[in-house]
Amino acid sequence: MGSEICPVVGNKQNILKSIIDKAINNIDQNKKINLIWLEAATCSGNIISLLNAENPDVIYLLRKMVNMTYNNSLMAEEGERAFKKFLDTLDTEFILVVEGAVATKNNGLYNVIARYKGKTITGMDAVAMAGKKAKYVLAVGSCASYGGPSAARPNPSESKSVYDFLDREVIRVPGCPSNPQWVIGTIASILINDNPELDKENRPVLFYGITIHDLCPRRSYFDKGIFAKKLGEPECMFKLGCRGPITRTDCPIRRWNNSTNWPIGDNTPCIGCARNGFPDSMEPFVRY
Amino acid sequence: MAKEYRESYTTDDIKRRIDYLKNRIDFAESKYEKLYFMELLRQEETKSNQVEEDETKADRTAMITKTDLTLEQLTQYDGSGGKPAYVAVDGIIYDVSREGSWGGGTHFGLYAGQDLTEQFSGCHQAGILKNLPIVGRLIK
Repeated sequence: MGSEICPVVGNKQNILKSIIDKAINNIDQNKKINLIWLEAATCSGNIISLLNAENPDVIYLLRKMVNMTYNNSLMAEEGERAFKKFLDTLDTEFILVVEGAVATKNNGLYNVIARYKGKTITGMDAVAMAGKKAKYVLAVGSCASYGGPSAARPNPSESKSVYDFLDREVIRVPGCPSNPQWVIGTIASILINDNPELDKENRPVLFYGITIHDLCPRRSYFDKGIFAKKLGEPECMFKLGCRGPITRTDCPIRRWNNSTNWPIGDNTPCIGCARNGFPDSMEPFVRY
Repeated sequence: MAKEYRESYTTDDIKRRIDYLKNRIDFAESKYEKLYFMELLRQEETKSNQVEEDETKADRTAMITKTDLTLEQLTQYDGSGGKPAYVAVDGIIYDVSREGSWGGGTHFGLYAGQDLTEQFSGCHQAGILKNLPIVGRLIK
């Protein structure tokens, strides 16, 4: 298959490790770019997913690729000292990674991330502050990219995606959670190349170039019209409500948990977690 | 039998003639020869388009008379439990059972087995309907 038709298959042999290697060669180890990983209105699923990374793992990311100055789940500092780090980073060149949507009701009071000198700092304040000054902004996960579960009906916190909230270019790395390789790979491609190739929804083509349906191991069942009638059957789960045909990620070949498993491989239909409209428009997740 | 003849006439005959004429145009030795074959090619292509259009129309008309359903009957075809998924737009019922964006008979919060004319016109152009198999007419 030619790379023009299928960017993921075309790049499969040299996808991540080579990008990482290139990135390492291109950055001065003493001058790693700073990175703020902000958790706004989120379940923290994306940072947990990042810790699951393999080849390269998160230690490699932290030691060799970027200088992560602020993340409330990982950093040693607490309270005001932690937030001081955030403020200090704003005066440097940095990448802003946001996971979670921006809760906007009551000036963002539904999502308080810090108290600094007696003042309450909301997720909305922090995203606005850092979003203005960051060299790159990555919206990681479906909440930051499209609103996701945080902005699902009836959306009591009036949450918005980071993409809609910030009036600037934001790279979307959706997924619920985002696969750690999509995140590290996107950061790597920023390090080596200021402009990673993005699609019209601002997602890296490298990871979101084709639909799950395109590379699904059960695709031949679909083509022959053989469908599973209930979960657990080995055939195509399209008639049970699979969203693979409308969801763009490389899950079938990259898979999850160190490439061990993924939803369709474990007999559950794709629920479209990485696409616009998740979760409201993707329901019902299973239909009998 | 007549249909078989027509199909072979359209798919093979015209295509073969078009290919042949294209070759003759490429390898024409003079300008006039080239113009002559270009005119023949134009005629052949018009014929091909006409036949194709007629066939599509004939197919669609044939399909339209296939199964007409009332709104109540239509609700049976909601795509659940492996049943076919039908939706009505502008009085015509379409089969979306194998349409990629209609997994399990659902589509961005909409369910099959209904008249979705209003929702359709809010999101799509009529052009995308032409690839969907037609089930029949919606009986009002």
